[in-house]
Amino acid sequence: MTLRTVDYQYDHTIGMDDFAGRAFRNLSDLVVSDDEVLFVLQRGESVHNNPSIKICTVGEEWIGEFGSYGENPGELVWPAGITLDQDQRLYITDEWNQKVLVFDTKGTFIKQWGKKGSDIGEFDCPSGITFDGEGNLLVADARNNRIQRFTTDGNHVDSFGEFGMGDGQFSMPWGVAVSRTGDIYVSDWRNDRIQKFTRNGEYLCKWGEHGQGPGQFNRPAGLCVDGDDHVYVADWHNHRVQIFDSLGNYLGELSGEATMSKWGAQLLDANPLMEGFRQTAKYPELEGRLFKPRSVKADNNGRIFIVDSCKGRLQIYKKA
Amino acid sequence: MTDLKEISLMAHLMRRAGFGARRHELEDYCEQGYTETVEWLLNPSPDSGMDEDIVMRYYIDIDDLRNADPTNAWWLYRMVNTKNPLEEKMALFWHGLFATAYEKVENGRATAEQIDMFRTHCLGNFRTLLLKLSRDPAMIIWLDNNTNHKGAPNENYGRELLELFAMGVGNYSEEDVKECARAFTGWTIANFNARYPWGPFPMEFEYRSEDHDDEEKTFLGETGRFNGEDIIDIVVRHPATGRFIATKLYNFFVSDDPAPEEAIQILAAEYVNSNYDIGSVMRSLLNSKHFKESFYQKVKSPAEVVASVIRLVGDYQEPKPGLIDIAYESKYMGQELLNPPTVEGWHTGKEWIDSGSLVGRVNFASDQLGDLDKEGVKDIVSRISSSVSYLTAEQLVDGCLDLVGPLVLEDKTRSTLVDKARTAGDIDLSSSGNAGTIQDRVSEMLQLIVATREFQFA
Repeated sequence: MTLRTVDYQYDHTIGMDDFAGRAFRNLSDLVVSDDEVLFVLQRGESVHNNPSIKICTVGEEWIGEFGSYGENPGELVWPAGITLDQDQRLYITDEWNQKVLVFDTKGTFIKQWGKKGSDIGEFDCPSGITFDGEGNLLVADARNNRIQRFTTDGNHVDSFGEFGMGDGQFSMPWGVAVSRTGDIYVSDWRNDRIQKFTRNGEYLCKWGEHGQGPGQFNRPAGLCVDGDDHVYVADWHNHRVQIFDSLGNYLGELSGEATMSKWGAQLLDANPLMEGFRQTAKYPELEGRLFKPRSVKADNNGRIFIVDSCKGRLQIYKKA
Repeated sequence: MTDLKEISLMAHLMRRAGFGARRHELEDYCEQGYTETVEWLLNPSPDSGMDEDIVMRYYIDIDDLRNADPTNAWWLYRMVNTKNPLEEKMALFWHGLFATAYEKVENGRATAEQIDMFRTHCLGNFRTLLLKLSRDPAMIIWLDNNTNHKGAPNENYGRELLELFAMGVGNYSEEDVKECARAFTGWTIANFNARYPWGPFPMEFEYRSEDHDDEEKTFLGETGRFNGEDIIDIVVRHPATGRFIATKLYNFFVSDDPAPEEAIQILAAEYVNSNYDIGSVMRSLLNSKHFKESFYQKVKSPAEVVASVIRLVGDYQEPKPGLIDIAYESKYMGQELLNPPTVEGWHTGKEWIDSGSLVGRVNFASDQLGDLDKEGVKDIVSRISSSVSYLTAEQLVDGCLDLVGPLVLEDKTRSTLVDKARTAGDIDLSSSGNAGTIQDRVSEMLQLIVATREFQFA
């Protein structure tokens, strides 16, 4: 698609829907490493299904997965957000265990912190997580309606936000992102808007309201900012990713155009009846559309990774 | 202070027209009065109070509704938390009558949308409901109407419409079934597709006029170039239909025993006089003497056991892990929602109970009511311990029976519970050291009560 200032080109799709092994289901977030490895967060459906961090390359080569269900150290129940530091450590929020958990990229558990509560350093459904410019972690503490900042050792640095609809107030914030200049963007989920703050958490501006039109939202979820200060918002129940400049001016949107992934193609090749059935669809174009995207991430190579949560896949766009 | 008779009647109403209610809710309903509560039940709010966005945020699988388990869990969550209890209970009634199974549909969202359709039309005009049912994608797949073609009719849907959904055997001929099937040719679905690799496509009803048999038909004594709508018109005004619906409603809401002729005549007449309005029939039923005098005459279905116990203990008022596992409990007891065993639905009444399912029902309720961390259990303890300073064994038993029902036991059973309570003695609540004792004693008594025969009835 063409925006006012830049073109976005659909590139490819990764994944197919299924629970176990080389497939995705119940996706909540992802992070991409500098060496083109994707770490994708997947939730379980019951105590019988482990949540997992699924690992593959941008080229859709399957690497593996790790993760186990539970409330003991290193276990996950409702993983929500994921980010990666320069030392290749993964930081994962868990909305049920009320923790940030740290793993290496092989899945070895390193440490965790947090407990349920509303005091400093405590959580009530921690959701989005990202690094600020100083190497500290920002966590969207959703049901405490605030953003908390921690060192990578889990020491609390500062917090901002409270419940409300006013400037600098939140209603269950979901995503948090930081621009190259250090500004902080928060998807203020139940207020259907995006708020922007200084690196210190001082309110700068906001945009958005409930609706389906350009610049409106139906529960904005994860968000990210790329090197050009373009803000990408997973507009969850509007089934799209909206793109804005750093002042909140609407630039365009991506609604998905998935083509068959490698894993999906292999499945269909092995099951010709399934492929024949697929060809009978009255509206085949619907197959490629986003369906309830929960997260969007940008890498340093001009690529946008959309977590197409209820389709069990990732859609990838490139800036032309 | 609300008297016991009033509370008992309100509890009865909420067990049957909902999934039970806790004492503070019953007191509120009594405050507004029985007739007014019935009217409130019959007029569901557009907002069922579910905070669906929060549910979908935390239950990603329910946001997806890919397969049966989360779809089932979502329905249980609604039964527990809805502010429109009769709407949810009616949806369960229609699901049992128009039994459609995920096993064949293989599309969680389509099955959920069928239940949503029941919610929307559950208390409305029966003609509208049958029309929506005939166009429902899950039903079309379930009874093969997508293979019902001009010149090659498939009688499955037409037959069940007459036999199981609206009229009952003996009120139509085999020729009527054939003509009915011809009228529904061309009623099919678009976008029926496989679940892999990325989930099924959203299905929709599609009428294909080129595949519809537009020739003359004779159905239940009337002749014309009938389409499906015409068939439904004839069905809803047939005398057998009012009696059929009246009987089904009676057996679901009033009693497992055969309905008395007088009750059927009243309800069937209301069906006709209201121009086939189900809400009017339900108003008549819930205000009737038959209903008000039918305490504990129905064996709870497994879904009722699970939803009512979870409501009683105050659990799952917000999303938390394990919902699917709770929903499985109904399946283990013999009723997997959205997966009825056949198009006939479930065999109800005493057939819900066998030695295996009874153990499952008792164990489930016992586990829940024995958990002193549950808000509803704490509430029961608090109510019992705050009313007196000294609790005798009889008061302990009767207090617990009151707050789980009020439940009336056979004398022999009650005496056994009192004897059991006496072995541990009375409780002096003025002593602060007995705080833990009262909790444990109430919890133990509740666990015994859910093992009684009477607790299995609604």
